[in-house]
Amino acid sequence: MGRTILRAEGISKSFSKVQVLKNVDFELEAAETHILMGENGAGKSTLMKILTGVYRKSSGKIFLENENGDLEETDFHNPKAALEKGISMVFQEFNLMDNMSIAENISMGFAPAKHGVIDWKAMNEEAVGWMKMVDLNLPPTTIVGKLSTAQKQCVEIAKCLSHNARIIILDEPTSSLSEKEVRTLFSLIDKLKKEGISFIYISHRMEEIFEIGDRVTVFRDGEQVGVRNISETTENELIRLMIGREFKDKYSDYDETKERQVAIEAEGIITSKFDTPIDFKAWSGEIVGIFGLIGAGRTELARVLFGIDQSPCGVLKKDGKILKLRSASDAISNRIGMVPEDRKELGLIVKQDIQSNLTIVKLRDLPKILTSTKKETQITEHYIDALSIACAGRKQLVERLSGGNQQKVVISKWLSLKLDVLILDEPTRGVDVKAKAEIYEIIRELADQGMCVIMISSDLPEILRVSHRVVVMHDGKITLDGLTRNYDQEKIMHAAIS
Amino acid sequence: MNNKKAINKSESAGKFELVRQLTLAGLLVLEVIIFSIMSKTFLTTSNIINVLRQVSITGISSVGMFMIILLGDIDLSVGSMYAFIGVLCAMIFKSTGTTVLTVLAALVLGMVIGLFNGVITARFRIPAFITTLATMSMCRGFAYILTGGSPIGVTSPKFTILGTGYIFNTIPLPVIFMIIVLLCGSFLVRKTRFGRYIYSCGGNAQAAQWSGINVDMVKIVVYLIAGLLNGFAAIILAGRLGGGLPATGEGSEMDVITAVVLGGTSMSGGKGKLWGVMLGVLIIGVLTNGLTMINVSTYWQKVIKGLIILVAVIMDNQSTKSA
Repeated sequence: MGRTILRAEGISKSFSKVQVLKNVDFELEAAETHILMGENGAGKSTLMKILTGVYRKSSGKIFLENENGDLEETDFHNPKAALEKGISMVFQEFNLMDNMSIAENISMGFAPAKHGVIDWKAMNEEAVGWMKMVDLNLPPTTIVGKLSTAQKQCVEIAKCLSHNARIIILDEPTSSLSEKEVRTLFSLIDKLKKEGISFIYISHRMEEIFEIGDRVTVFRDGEQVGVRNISETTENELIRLMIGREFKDKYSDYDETKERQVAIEAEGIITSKFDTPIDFKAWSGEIVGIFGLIGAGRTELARVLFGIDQSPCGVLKKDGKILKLRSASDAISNRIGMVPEDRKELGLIVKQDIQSNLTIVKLRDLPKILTSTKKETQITEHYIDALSIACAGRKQLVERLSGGNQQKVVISKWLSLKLDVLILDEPTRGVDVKAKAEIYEIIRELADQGMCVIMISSDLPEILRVSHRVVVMHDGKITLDGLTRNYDQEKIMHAAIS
Repeated sequence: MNNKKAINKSESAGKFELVRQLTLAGLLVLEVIIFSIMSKTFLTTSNIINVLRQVSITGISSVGMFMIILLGDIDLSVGSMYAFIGVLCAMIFKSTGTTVLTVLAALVLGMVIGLFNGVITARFRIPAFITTLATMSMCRGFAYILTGGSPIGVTSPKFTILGTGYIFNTIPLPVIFMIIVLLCGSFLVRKTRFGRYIYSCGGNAQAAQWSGINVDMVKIVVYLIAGLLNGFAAIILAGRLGGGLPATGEGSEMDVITAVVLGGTSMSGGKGKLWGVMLGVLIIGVLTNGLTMINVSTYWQKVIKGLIILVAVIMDNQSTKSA
């Protein structure tokens, strides 16, 4: 195989006595895409932060190829040192200035100057060069705030290239891209690989790992548990490595012949971004998966069902009765709940503890004057236990939890009410594999108990695995609606793009 | 592994909070020691009672300010409200002569101004800083318009009793009022659903809204309560001063905000404890009194208080970072 350009040997890292990386080895070859997998908290981000100079390692050695093609021991004291050695990282949440132009962002901190004054012309010219490499055909003076997520990502990659990056680390780069944008990103990665650039690619999405990866390194509990060639491994092997046990997929039982009642129904409603009226129905006891690309109007539909947005026309019905929802509060009073996509902004108060977050909606059922917090404590402890939320106790701050456990807190807060309809918007985004499986289990149980579950997802395998019925949206319209078992990936994807 | 890390971190955050509160208590003791050494009259019963009476105005308003800062907002109109309400009440008392009516007018006017602040801030999405800056200017303006610039003196004990009266001949009435307000405020934030909602709205207004909380209503009610308390403080102050002075309360909001922030309430909202605020009120009160006793000019006092508020906010930032 190719030549090794980066080797980390026996890397360990501890934070105040707690060891988060244990004697980890990692190797990267020239022009390869090396996948990093592992649950959240398994140690992949810590290793990346050591490689990019954000953290200092506690022990171990890092070797990096020098100009003569030899491996030389190096140590990065700060992010700038790593940048200068050709290692750049694109974070999940971009580090871009939305109010500035593409060129300004690319040359951030290294802007060309004449006598101390910024040379705008040179800056824009240089930027165009880097933008061409990432196939971004826009004027360099375009304001970054106006770009799509995919375009911002290209700007980030261009920024890495402008630092002469030899190694680019991508942290879940496709998590907010549409299928088409993913294609573009993958062909860009292929193109840059041919120019000798290596990628370290962090991802949870199985299907893309097999498509884009050359090799994969799996982490578990701060240890490196295996390195595989992608061509020689299987999905089940990787999942086994990651969670340390055999993973069994279980389809929930769904009796088509059983008589069901329509739980929630929308007739001719108009959502905030589109003008086509939508009809939508969901039955109790079923899981309906709403699939579509980003921007297809799925979240907008959910916002109307949950009372955040109001439709100027049409009617909403629940259990056959007409509903008027003016706010989330109205929806909750009608036993409708929603787990929003943006967990940190809409779902949680991250700087407060688990208990405050978990009981926030339950408070409406408790007396106005709270004589004791016993009831709240009971509820919190019940759900920490029932959903196996990994935490240091009910008083732990939510921002200290992993993505999966945060999501379980959001779900629990709705479980504490007696709901008829629960809408989940991208419930497993940024959630590790084990927590994903647990969340699916919860969703199935809720449906089995008679709840109507509406799950919005951009993850097609997830829709196929979990939902009884699938609704596909495209450009604000519903383009497919039927029992999931009657459709395969291709048909669903086809409905989503045309 | 993750859990252990988390435990350590949350413990250290709790420790930091405890260290801060102990530091504050230590600061208060230190102040008392220093001032009693420097001034012979500082540690006398009459002066201690005097300090308590002085802090009661700030103390009452700080309960409202505490709730507003918990929301992540701020209220700059406190001092001007003292002036406007004080002046108007002096006029009402002069023409009616009834204490009950005057107090009622103060409370109602306070609530009206609070409601105004709340509705403008919540419904029109105007930053509280701007809304209350405008109210501050308007109230001060009205106070001067009503009086033409000269004070309205009221000598009747039926008016001044609220500010100068004593219970059992030793404890000043304002101190009793402050304690009652404190207890009610503490009950409201700690023991009611509404109190929980204040913390939630301050922690993340959008998430609170998505959890079915009427965020606008919570905000408006908080401003209403703060206005009510400012009205109450205003009438006590007017009683103590013996009438309505249009120039009164200049910069009072500064003392109130400093006390709340010094007490550990986070300026970004959602975090804080009322008993911390009380420590803050006492520290500022003792400082003002002590500095005056040792003949430090009010000009220098302003400089010192400015520094204190900076230090308090820096401490808040540090604790957020380390938590």
